[in-house]
Amino acid sequence: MGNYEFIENCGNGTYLVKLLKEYYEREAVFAAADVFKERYYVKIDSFGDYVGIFFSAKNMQDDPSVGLRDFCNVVLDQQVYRDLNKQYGHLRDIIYEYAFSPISMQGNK
Amino acid sequence: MPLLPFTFHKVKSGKILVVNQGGEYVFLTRKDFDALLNTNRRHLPNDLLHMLKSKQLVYTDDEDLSLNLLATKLRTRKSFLSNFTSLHMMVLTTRCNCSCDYCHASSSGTETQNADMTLCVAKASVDLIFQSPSNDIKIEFQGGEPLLNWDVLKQTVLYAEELNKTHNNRCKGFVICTNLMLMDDEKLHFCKDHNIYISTSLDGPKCLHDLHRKARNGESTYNMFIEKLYETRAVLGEDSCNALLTITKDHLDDLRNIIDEYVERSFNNIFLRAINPYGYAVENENIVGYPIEDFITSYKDALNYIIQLNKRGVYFVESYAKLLLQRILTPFPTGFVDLQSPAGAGIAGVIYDYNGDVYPADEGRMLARMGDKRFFMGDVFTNSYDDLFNGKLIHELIYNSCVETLPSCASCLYQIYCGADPIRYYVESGNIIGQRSGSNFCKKNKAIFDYIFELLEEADEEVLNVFWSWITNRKLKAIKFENN
Repeated sequence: MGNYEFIENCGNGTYLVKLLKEYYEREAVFAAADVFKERYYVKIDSFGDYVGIFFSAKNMQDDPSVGLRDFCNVVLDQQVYRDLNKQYGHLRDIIYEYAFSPISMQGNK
Repeated sequence: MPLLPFTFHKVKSGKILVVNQGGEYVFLTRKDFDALLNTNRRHLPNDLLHMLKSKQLVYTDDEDLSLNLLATKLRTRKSFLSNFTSLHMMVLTTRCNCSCDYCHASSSGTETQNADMTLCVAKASVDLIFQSPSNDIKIEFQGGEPLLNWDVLKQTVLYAEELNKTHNNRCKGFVICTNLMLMDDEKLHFCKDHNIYISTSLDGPKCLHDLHRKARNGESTYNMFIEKLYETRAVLGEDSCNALLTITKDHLDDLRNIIDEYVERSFNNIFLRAINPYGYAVENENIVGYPIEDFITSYKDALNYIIQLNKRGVYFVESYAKLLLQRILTPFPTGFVDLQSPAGAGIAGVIYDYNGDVYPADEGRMLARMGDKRFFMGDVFTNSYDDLFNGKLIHELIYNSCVETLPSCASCLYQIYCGADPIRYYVESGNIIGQRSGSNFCKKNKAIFDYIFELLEEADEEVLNVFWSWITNRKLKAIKFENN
């Protein structure tokens, strides 16, 4: 696999992706890791300012170089999704509340 | 110009597909998407801004109006919930005159004792059915082969019709799920007189149909099926019969031939569904099963073939694609028990077993037959309607099957169009929340959504016309005429 600064080869088929906690939240990391747990055994650990995600391919023939680069993009999407949610999450709640309120109550919104 | 809630994902073409709470979608270039996320959205072209506004992805001055529009769309999409349980399935017998090796119902031989629903159980079931608040009750007779318990079927229809008179005619019809082998003139005329529809099974041309759908004595069923199909149509009408296909390993590479057979036999739709992991399909997995990836490849090829048929003037619908297209292209509700949020088990459909036991779905009943009564709701004699439909199990299923709150589904692009199947998850992973992102259920649905959106992005006018003809139940000619 190539030498990507953000993907470390830890030996024995285990790879480590380190992400700055300043940029990535716990929820985004967990949501992205969830997508990859079918192909990899995943362990999440803390390293000071970084969160470390260890991946070990379930299928030893699996080349993690592509998969783990995809992980970096997925976790980025998840973080953007959460950042956006901070902007308009309250609107989502209003939409659901309004959609499920009795019709007689809707004029009062 | 503030943003409204949406999810997004990069698609194969490199564009970003953006979907909002109302199910509206748009494909954006990376540049436009970046501009949308930028606090200063003035770099977006005017026409794009108008489009984003009209689809409620951004709003200008009236926040309330935009939120109301989105809430109305969401409310419309979820309106199937207010109807509550409309599909009531009654297992009239577990006996069957066929021995299909993929039978999810694990049916028993025709001579099996104590395998039929008694009239007493049937009437108690119908009494419960009419306590449902639904104004669109449908009673479906299943088996085994329900025609083996014809007298009880007949009496049940008459009893339901009697109750219907004092219940505002809320029961809108009956369906018999039958292999047709025992259908005869007397039964057909009863069906005609009582507005009963037929749901049957056709697995393709003779060689494929007979491969897994054999009579108990091992003989072919195809010729008799075709004969009975035409007899049925002659009495009940051309549109009285729908057929279901079960796709085994042997059918995967022959879907085009199977589609041809459906067209040849004057069916105007086919439901391409992967085999379910229940009943004999589990025991015979090495004979009938396949990796879900193989199904997805065959599905795409078959869908393309069906689109081509439509372009050539043959009105023929792939029912699953139609269902998903209805959800993507319209705000209207499409209750579908196996793909709803919350799941349809119990609140959209329910099944009454031959002995009076009640389950939220056929799969729950099958598990019970395999020794696991995890989804047993109660029975028609000892439990009230409230016990059954407002009980702990139904609450648990609803609570744990809202894709809006399930891990990985909560941020999925397709969440608003998709649903959950907790009983399926339980079978596959041992719990009702399941490992959805790696499950066959998720892989299949994501792949089909991906492909349908790929076709929508290509925006071939003829393909879009075909899709609209399916959604609006009109021939392609009518859609083209309207467009001109």
